[in-house]
Formats: sequence, C-alpha cells, structure tokens
Amino acid sequence: MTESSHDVVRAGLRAHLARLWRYGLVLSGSRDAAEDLVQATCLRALERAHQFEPGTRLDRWLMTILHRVWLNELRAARYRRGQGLVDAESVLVFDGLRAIEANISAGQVLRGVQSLPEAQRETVFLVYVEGYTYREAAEALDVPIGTVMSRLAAARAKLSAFQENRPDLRQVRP
Amino acid sequence: MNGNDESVTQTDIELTGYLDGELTGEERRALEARLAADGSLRARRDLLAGARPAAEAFDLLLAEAPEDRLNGILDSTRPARPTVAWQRRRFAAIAAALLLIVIGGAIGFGVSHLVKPGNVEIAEPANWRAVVAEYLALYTDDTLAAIPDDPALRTTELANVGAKLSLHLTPEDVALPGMTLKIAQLLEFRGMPLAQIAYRSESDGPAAFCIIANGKPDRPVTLEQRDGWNIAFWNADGLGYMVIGRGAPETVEALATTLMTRDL
Repeated sequence: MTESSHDVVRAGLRAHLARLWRYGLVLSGSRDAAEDLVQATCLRALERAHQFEPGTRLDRWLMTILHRVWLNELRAARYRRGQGLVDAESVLVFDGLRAIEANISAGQVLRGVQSLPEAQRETVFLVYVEGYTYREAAEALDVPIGTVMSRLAAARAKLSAFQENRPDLRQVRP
Repeated sequence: MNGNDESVTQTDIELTGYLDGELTGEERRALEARLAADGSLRARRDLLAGARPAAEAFDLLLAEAPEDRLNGILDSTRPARPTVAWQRRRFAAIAAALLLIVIGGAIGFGVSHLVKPGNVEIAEPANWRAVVAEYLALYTDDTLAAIPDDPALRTTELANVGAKLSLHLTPEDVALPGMTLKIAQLLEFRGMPLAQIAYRSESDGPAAFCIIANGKPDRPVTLEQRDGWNIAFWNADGLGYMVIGRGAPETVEALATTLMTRDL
C-alpha cells in the first residue's frame, strides 16, 4: 500500500463517516451494528486502499465495502448469535427525532422504509436517497438490473399501502 | 434473501422505471401512449409517484450519527500494524467504573452502589480490548493471590459465564500451561456480555482470557500492544476473543493458539 492511497482513503472515510453509519443503520436497524459496520468498513478500506482506483467515486467504493461486510459477515454473525434483526416496527431508530411537527412526515417516511424487506429497503435507499442509477445499484448490490427494478416497484407499492393504512399520519403530509 | 417480490406486477415495474427516468426513449413513448388512453393506469402512476420516499427524511439520520465515536473508530483503525498510541484518557472513566465492580466482586466489598452512572460522564470507547487492558493494569499479583484456589467454585463460575455466551466452559477447556486459573466472571461492555477469565503466572504476573459476544466478523489471530500489555485477539462465530498478558508476544500468541484449538 502506498502512503498516498492510504491517505486518500483515510480522508475519504473521514468525510463520509456519517453517511456510512446511516447506510449501516438502514441495513441493520441497529445503532450498535451500524457502528460495527463502520468499524469493519474502515479496516477493510484501509487494508485495501491500494485497490481503490483514483478518479472513481470513493464514497461509492466505501458503501460497497460496507454492504459486503454486512452481507458476508456481520449479518450472518448476528443471526448466528441469535440477535437477529429487530422487528421493524419496534426499532427505535428514530428516537432522536422528537415529535415536532416538521419531523412527523419524515418519521413516517423512515418507518415506512424500515418496514420494507431488507432487499427492498437497501435498494430504495441507494436509488432514492443516495442517488444511484439502476445500473449503479445493480452493481453495488451485485444483482441483475431487473431485480433492482422489481424491488423498487414492489417497495413503492408497499409504501403506498403503508400510507393508506396510516391516515392519521398521512394527513400531515402536504 | 430473495429480492424478487412475486406479487409485483409488470405494470408497476414499468411505471416505476418511468417515474425514475430509467426507461429508454421507445419504452417511455409507448407507456405514455398507454397512459394517455387509460385513466386507471394514470391513477396507479400517481399512487406510485406519491410513494417515493423523500430523501430529505434521511438527512435527519445524518445528524444522528455519533460523529465523535465514529472519528475515534477511524483514528484507532491501523491495519496490519499494532496500535501502540492510544487515547488513554477517554477510557479512564469507564475503566475506573469497571475496576470498582471487578475488585468489589473479587474481594467482597459492596462498592457498586458508589458507582452512579447518571453522574459519571462516560465516553463510550469503541474498543473493548483497550478497556480490558486499562483495568487489568490495575491488577497486581496480590490481587489474584488473595483469591483462594477452589476448583469446584471455578467450575461453577465458568459454567455460569459460559452460559451467557452460549459456550460450554470447564477448567480443562481454559487451562493454560504455566498459569493458575484464579477467577472467571461475567462483565458487560456496551451491553454485550464479556467473560473475563483471570490467571496468575509465576513468571509474568496477571493475565487474562476474555470473550465478548460482539457479533463481529471472523478474523484471524492478531497481535497488538497496549500500555505494555501484549494482546492476541481473534474473532470466530460472532465471538471476540483475547489473551492479554505481560509475557512476550510469542508467549501470548502461543496461549491464544492453544485456546483456539480447544473446541469451546
């Protein structure tokens, strides 16, 4: 590893820590696991700094590493330890968001996405939050582009039903 | 996990691709022609359009990120090089709290009531090994010598501690050459059960074998130094292990290898 690639990756990690943590939170539904994912991602990224291609997007490279760690290692390990994944509705992911008016619709969006199956949730997050194209999401998640399309369509259908079932929350939407 | 939702319709897929600007020009024109002619299709489009999650909602999560801790994690990540420098002060508070509990438990003082977590500001460290090293540094030979050797008690302690980690632990499982098993106790680190099995070595003083249910990825044995301690640590099946002592790195590594080969 050259010193310069190491420094570039370390600086990139520094700049994107919060975004990586957010991705970890969306994947795992747990703050603790999100922190573990960031930790493992830092280690992996620095170990493989020489593999980063200058001129490509460092944030996307880091996100892909985090996803791989989640899929290949942490997720399985948590299941093996019986911690599993927390029930979507009970996750206090958003407990920091006090129920002030402005945040109610945001909280509803977050809960809706949290209630989606993991595969749909991660795809929705990459495309609609992180701005990936279908092709970029397919590469990042290592699935065919058709899978990205069907996941997003299924997610939108579920989210529209989620809103329908929550008229009390829906009325605060503009 | 199977990402293909069988209930999803081809129409929804096309409409979603249309809304996301991912259709080819030809596909888009064909769909627009159908939309112009079909009111229910337009209604479906509008329903799906309204279901796109607002990215702004997720911006709020960025503000929730524990920035200080994440920066600390990054600062302490030094691949393929043992970490020597460490931010000791950050751990002083939690180490002191742990020490009170450990010593209190070991010697029989009921001092835990002196620890009032509400009044103590504890910066959560990202690394359990640092905490173990900090409080083990306060052990002396006498700390451990004061604990009577009681094989039956050790057996019970190990069984209780092991149960919390879904491990079957016996004195034979954790026996180490040149070391006397002194105590096995259950601690907790950031809500995760942490087993501490302490030994006394005639030549090198206090040492410990610790196990934590941290759910982290598997990793092979790695050596590091913290505050004069040599540590060999590894992860397997969601459990983190470490052997820590004042012996030479090779000695500590050999102890770790010995323990790894036991099917705990």
